[in-house]
Amino acid sequence: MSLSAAITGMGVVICGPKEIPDATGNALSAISMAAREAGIDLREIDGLLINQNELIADDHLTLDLSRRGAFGTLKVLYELESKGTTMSVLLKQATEIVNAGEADNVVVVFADAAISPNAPSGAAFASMGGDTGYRGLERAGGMLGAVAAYALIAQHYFVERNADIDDLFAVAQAQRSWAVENPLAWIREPLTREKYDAAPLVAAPLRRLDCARPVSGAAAFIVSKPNSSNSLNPVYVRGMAQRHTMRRRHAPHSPWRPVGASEVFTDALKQARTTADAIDNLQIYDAFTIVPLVMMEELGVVGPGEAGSFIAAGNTRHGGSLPVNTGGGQISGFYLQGATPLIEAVTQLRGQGGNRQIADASTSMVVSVGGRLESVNALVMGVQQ
Amino acid sequence: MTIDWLLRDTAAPSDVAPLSEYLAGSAEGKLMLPFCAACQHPLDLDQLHCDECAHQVRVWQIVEPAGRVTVSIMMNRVDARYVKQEAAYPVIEVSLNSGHRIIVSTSTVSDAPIASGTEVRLEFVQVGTQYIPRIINTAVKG
Ligand SMILES: [Zn+2]
Repeated sequence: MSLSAAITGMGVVICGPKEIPDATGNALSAISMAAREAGIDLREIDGLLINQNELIADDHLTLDLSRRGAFGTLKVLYELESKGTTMSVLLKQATEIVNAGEADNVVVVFADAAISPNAPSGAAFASMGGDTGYRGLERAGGMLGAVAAYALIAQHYFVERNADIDDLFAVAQAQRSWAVENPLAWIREPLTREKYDAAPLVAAPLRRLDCARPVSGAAAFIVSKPNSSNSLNPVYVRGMAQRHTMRRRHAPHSPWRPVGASEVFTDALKQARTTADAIDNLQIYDAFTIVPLVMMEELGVVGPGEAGSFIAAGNTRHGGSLPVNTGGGQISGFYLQGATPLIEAVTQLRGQGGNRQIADASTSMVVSVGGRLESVNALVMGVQQ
Repeated sequence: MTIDWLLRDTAAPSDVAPLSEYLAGSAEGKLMLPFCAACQHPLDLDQLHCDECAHQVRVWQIVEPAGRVTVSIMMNRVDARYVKQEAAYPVIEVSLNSGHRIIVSTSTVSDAPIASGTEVRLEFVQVGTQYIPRIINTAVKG
């Protein structure tokens, strides 16, 4: 049996807060790192799949990336936008492209220029919106930015699942415990309740420490057929499922629950020909602490209203029954949108986690979400094809 | 009409589709929202086909400015570009009796959320040249 396509290279660039970000430059650096790992020359790259990212920054990748780098003749080149799930979708597509023989070395790339020395905080995320359509009406209601949208989701969760801020804190603390061991994480000291409570409220019930840490940077993956020039073990994309239900603003549609998450979970496992028991790490797109709580329950890994106590009991920490967001996630690690959970899954499956490495990690599930929990994607990755 | 206590004129929504009909109703102190012309299902402001019956014609109707609070949050980080005052203020999601959901604040100064399930009525305040619904909070005890 011939080998399937796999992730054979990965590159990550995270800018320091004093650096002037450059989306294209960072993307090309990340691609170079990934190509080095895959053991290929840049001119052997014949596919380029770009995560379209117009979330906030004016400086974003375009198809012109292909001209500014030194790639070979591209057999595939496109940008895709599927909100927070885009990188997972692109990795699956890259795998299919290589398996179909349409291209041999396909790059999947993301870059963001979310912060710069002139705009050092996540303030840009606060002003997302505009004056037209629903976003215009929301702004006229005093609702400003993504944090408010997720604060409403958190409040719905509190009311319907009898939860409270102790549950948000459990997520923040558990993820920080992982970030302590992640050299790429923005903050690496353990989180106490006192420090959490001292963090400023952004949109109650969400505090600053409930929100992802924006960074400028880039991530690139090379998807190719594994061969002897790869420097690290290949990571296979084994299954993926997704559901998209844009949020309606009227009854009987839920104002907060993701639709189809449990089906996404089972469908992705079925595609991967495996079972939930095989997942030894779960990486969730966690732009806010409320997201892992909601998603773990909606996927079905814990019952309704049980996520907070499950996490507080240590189950998602190192040595726990289900390690979650083992690099600190987007909250304590870094926010490179959908790339963040994928980077950590690949790190674990390659055995590169250092002190945070999960012993014999062989199967990861990456769950990404988009919009206001409107898109849900589960990607199963493993060391076996 | 009362000038809004909360927002600056810069926060006024733009009077273009899909808000034109809605804001025209607001200017007369009426809450105007779209429904399916065939089955009367409530529709989003910019929704063209009915999610209940797939009918493609909609009608705008005046609805009762009343409903129930689903959830309510506080905006603690105040964006001075759009907000007049410095203190945290409530943002409330209301499920109208018509079935539509809207995001509003209160019609007079408030520094507290409103409990889920509270029955509320709306009135309009002026933001820039537009009229915006707000919860009549003088009668509400959070
Ligand atoms: Zn209908």
